[in-house]
Amino acid sequence: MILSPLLWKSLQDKVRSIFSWTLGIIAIVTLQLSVYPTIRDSATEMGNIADAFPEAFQKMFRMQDYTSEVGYLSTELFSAALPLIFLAVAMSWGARLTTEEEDERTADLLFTLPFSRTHYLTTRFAATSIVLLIISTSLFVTLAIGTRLLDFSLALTTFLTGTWTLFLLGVLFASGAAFIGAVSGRRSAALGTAITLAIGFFVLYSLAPLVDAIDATMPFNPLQWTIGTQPLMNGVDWGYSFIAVGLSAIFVAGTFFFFQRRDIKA
Amino acid sequence: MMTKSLNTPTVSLQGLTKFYGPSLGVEDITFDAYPGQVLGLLGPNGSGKTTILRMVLGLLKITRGSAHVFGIDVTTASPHWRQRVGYLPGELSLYENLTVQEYLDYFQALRGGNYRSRMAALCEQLGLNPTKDIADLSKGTKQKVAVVQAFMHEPELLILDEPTSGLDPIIQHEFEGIIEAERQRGTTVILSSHVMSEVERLADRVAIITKGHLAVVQSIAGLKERVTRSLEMEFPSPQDPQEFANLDGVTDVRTHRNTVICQIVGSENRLLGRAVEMGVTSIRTHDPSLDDIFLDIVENHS
Repeated sequence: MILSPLLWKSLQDKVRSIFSWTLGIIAIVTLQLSVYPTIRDSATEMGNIADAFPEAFQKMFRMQDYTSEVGYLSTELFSAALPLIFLAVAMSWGARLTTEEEDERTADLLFTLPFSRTHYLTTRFAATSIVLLIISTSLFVTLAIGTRLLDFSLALTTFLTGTWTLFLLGVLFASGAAFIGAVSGRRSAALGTAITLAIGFFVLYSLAPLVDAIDATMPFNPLQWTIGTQPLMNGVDWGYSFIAVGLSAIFVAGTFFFFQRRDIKA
Repeated sequence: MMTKSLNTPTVSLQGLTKFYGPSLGVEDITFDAYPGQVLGLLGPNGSGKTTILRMVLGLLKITRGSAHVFGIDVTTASPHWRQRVGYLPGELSLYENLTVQEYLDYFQALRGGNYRSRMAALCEQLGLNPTKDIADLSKGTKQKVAVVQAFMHEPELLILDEPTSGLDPIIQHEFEGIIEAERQRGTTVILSSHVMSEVERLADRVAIITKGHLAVVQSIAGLKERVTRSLEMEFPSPQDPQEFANLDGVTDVRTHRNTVICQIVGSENRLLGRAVEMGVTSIRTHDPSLDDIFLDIVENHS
């Protein structure tokens, strides 16, 4: 099998990074969960404190019903911290997917071996998916165990929905970064464009509750399709999920198309 | 092991052309490379040698023309033909996080074979320690790793772009021995090089590329005939220059006592025949080096 050494190496090369991100997610989730019993036990005071935040701030961080389990987790984990981690992992893996070998100048030897560029891309997409699955699984397991230990009443399906939404966000931005890399052949262009877009979408997503004109753009904002659907409260929004999956599929197809057809840089 | 007839070209390029947007890479390159022969690819920096090799290997898309390897069109075929090819790129970069052995094992796994014994023999021959970290190796030693990688699966076609750059003279000599053995085995070798003496020693034929165009492809002996050489002939008595001046290819004749010095382009056969008829006692030739030929051709094409 030619695929497995490629797949194995791309994971092995970044094992420390994968481990660090996984530990980071476990640490953040554990920390935030461990604080919640205090908030639950002093719900009235905490509710007052939360209500005392400026209205704009409450809207930006989607602080609805902050002292409830689902409101707390939505605000503290699913509105910024976890999406940013998923975006960072996804964009760095996505951009490397189509540019790494050329950037490291190892492409000339690799792409003259007896496998096609399609095979190469397939393994790299598989590696990226595995990494996103690893951090998604760590998130789900940490949430599941942590909430059981701390007597949360939320069902496991709530966390499954939240994790799925973040996984989808990761897939979308990983495939988007890979696509830009396939067209440009430059990691800096792929990563730079993806980060700029992500920040732009994030700023617009945060300001949308405050400005009507921005709110009108939300149907076109990938963050709205994913975390904006408030998955912990509302479950999976299949319509938006379909759009995110569809756009990711277009990016993946475009990546294969352009990567096949361009010159490999020396 | 080699199944192809010696007369069937391993590599056949027809009007191979590459444009990078509007700018020319190479244009209308046509030549063949045959089993058991070394084809030297010569040209000034930036003339397009690497562009040709990278198109043959499928790294660059062909703008126009065609490249066939083992009779297979490289643009449409599945990539399995590359199993029979060894490539040494001009710009070398290896995976710095691996040891030499891990690197070679990785390439062995990607090729899907077992070349351990050949790998070990080549490492031994080139004085390469497989346990070393690649990050700690000098440029020349990294080049050795790439040489082992290119040769270890006993390919039928070797494409070598500046293979001896960075190698010390002893290892260069060793490397030439390896190429010679490959030629004996029937391997087709395309060797791009700046080292004229190396090409002169190794190549059966030479293709000279200037400014993206093929200036000439010919055997080294044939190339030597293309440039003006000097023949100094001794006779028992003074000779009339006119006896030689009208012969084919003779461009200048000077005499001094019993000596006749002729400048000649092309075949020397007629001149030597006449000299024998006139009772020549000794002949000294001033054979041009490949260096002289190269400069002559490049200057004539610029």
